[in-house]
Amino acid sequence: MIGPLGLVATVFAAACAIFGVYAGVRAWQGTWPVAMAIRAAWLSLAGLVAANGLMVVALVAHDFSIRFVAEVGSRATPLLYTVASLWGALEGSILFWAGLQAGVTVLFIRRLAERERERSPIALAVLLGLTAFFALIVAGPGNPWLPVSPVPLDGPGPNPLLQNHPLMAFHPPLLYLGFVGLSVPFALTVDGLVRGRLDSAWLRLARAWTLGPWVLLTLGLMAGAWWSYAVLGWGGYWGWDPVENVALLPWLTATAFLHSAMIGRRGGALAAWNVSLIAASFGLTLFATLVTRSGLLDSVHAFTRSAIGPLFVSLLGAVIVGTVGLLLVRLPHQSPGGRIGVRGGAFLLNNLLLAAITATVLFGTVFPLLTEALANTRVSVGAPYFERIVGPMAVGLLVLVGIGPALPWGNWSSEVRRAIVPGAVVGGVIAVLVTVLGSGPPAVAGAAAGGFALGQSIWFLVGRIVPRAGSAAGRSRAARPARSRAIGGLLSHVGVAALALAVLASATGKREQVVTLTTGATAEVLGHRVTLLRTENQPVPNGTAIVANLRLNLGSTTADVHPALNVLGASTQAIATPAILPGLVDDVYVTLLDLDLATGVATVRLGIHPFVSWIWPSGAIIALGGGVAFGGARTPRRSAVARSRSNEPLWVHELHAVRNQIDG
Amino acid sequence: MRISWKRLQRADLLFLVALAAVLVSVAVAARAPRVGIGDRAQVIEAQLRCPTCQGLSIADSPATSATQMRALVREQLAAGASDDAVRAFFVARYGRWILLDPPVAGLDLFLWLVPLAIVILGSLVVVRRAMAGRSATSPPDSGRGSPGRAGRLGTALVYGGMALALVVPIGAAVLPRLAGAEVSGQQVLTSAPSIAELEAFVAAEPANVEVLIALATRLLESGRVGEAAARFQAVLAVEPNNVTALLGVGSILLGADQPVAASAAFDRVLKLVADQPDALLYRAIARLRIEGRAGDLVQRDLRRFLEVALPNDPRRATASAILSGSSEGGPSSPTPASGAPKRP
Repeated sequence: MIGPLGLVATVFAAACAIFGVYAGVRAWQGTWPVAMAIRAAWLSLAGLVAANGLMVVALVAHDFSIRFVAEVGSRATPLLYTVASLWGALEGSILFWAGLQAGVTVLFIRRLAERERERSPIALAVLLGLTAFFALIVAGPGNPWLPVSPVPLDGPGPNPLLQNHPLMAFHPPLLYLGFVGLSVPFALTVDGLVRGRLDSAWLRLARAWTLGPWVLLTLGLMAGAWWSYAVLGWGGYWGWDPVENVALLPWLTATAFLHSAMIGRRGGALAAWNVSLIAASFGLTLFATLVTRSGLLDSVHAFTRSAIGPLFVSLLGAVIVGTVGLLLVRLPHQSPGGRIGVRGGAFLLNNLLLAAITATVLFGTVFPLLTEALANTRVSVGAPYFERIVGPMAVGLLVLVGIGPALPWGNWSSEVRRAIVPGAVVGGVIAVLVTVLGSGPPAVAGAAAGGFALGQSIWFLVGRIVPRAGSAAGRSRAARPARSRAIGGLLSHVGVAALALAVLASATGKREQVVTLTTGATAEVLGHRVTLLRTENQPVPNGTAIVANLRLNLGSTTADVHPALNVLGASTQAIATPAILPGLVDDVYVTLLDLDLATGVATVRLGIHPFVSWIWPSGAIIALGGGVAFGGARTPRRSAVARSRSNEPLWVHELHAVRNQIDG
Repeated sequence: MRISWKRLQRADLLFLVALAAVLVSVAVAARAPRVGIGDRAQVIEAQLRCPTCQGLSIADSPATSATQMRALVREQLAAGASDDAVRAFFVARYGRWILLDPPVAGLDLFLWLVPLAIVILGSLVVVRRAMAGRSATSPPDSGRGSPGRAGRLGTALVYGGMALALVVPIGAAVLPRLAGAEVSGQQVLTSAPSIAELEAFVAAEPANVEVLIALATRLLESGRVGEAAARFQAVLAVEPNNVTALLGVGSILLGADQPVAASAAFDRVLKLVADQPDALLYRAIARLRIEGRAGDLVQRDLRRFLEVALPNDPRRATASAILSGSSEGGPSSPTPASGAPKRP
């Protein structure tokens, strides 16, 4: 019964969304009120919420007569993973995505002021078009509701790798929310292009709507890295795996846009570049989904393969061709615009480096496919390549993080040199320290840049937060959003610099050793005494685990750890569950490689990973900074609307535009 | 401009000292010798791909094949081989695929040139843009003659290039795979190594169980049963309790009409892994052949199989058919699903 109901709800939502696209276009032409499109958006949301709810009910109730449930469900799977399997496999994830897209569309309507709603029916039409696209995939080629006959008594359950750690239940929704959220700035941009109004109000709205998804993407990427560290057992958190790379790409372009939008505020015609960054961010989210969900590239994430790929490719093609075409037709041909100042130049450099990193990662990820298709040779492009190319660019970015906020919008002044002394001292001290510890030149350069960026960012942040005597202006009502934007940005910089240092330390200071122990035996590994107490077979939810109980003597303290190999569900694949002792400096990471229960002989790998436990809070600080800046970004939207009512010219930017028009 | 030492303040001095400290540190670090075999091995190990993993280097991978390769790297370095010679040794055995770090030669040259070109061209644009603002206090009136046309052409070129850069890789990535994948319609890791590559791996490391199994499975899939059987036996010689190899040997025996021996292999599998679906089904079929009818044991195995097998498993129909036909004394010799048992 649930199956047909779910299909009806999906088809209803798709129909409403398609009608909404039409209504949006009519509203743009001025023949219909925009309220029609808004109603359609609400109805499509209702349909997709119902469809998602029905699928969750079917999963929890183990209704194996529905194909999707029969493929990913299992009676033995714990409730959390049963619900999470909605987005754990292809068809369910697209249903989930359609629901999020409808939700974001309605959120967009709710957050816009009355006047803005009237102004952007095309944005609404684009968002509803995307909702329709995903709903139609769910209703057609990716139908999860098909009946199964005969009805199996039980299913295989989700992929064992996906039910080994609670983080896996949160990492995909965070990324999806970020991906879906990036469709809003894209829709606003299409709207601006179609109506020929890429003004400062557009830029401000697009930036505000990019910040939220950017925060979610940051958290999603960090959750993925953490999961990789806690579950996969190889001791790393970022493997430059194709699926990791493609999820990073939209984050990079969104970061670039968040910075380039700041130049736009001050004047100049970087509109085409901003449009490209927004369209690239959105297009790359589609590319990421295509790669993750179609198994294009072999990787631990590419579990599924589907016929939905071509549809995604065509949507991606439409996005690229449409944006390019609109740019060619609509972009006002303004001269390069007024001067951008030293600081604007720094923003351009930041954009150059981020764009170059994006292009490198994209090209390196698809290069093996290119050579295979064109030259029929199989090649690998892995971590050493990406580290070698991205590393120097990251050092450049860190230097910019340190200098940028000190730079004036006008000419260079000697004040700048004085403003960057604190960071320079921190960088110098860290460089000497790292050299004494015996690292190579790349690590020393990276540590110096990271230390410089960290010292500077903290210095700037303290300067912003602690009110200076006699400057009441900083606390006035009008300056508050600008202040929280600045504080948010600096907070993110602190996080980025700390993250860079932690990553560098963990990459260069990592030590590992493999040891084989019989029960009761003790060995000296990397300066720690390791004893194998006993081995055992333990039941875990939906499977069994073979566990090695080890005692570690870490100098003054003793700790018992239990690394295990889990066999879950109907699978015979053993999944390592490493034991991690997090520390302020060193994480001790113990992986069970092999265990013979009959003889009680275990082979374990002990790893010392310095400063890894600093990575997670650093990522949280980056996201927190985005959140603080988001608080600041929301306020001027309202005031801008209020002021645009009185038709006051606001920014230099528009003055330039007017002047250019007169000139041309 | 002359530096006036009087105007050089304490802050400037601190800055210069810090800058000097960084430069000296980098120089000192660059001079520090790195000659130990351990250091060199670590660098090489990070550059070599673990053949049986998903994109991990042998430095990171806990797999046995990676362990063996690490030993091989250190052995060769200890024997006096140069870093390049060690890399060449593995490339000769596994192909360019084994290198995670692309060489600066051949097709791979593009990997190094593309980022370089982007940075150089991008820097030119940035410098020009920054200069444009600096030189003119009023908005520049460059290209007043035909700004529209030149602008349009430029935009078209830039964005045409961008579109091509995005579409070509994606098209190249998608089209061949979709064409191949839709025909077979089952889950295939399309970029898994070929039989020839796997045979080269096995030649390089005859006792590597994971590679042997991958090769045997591939051979079985392409109908080369005899060779597959030999490879599975090689696995069982190293690991007598290897489930995949036991399943392989069992299904080959079943296919060669040796149900008694096959049934023993499946018994062993089920003792190792309770409710292994392939073993359940094939043991039932083997017993059906021996007894000539679907007895209690056969029926129990088949029912259990239907409970644990994947819902889209095509062999469900076979199992149901045997079960429903059991009252009439069983259907005439059901054939096991062609090819290898599904790997979990």
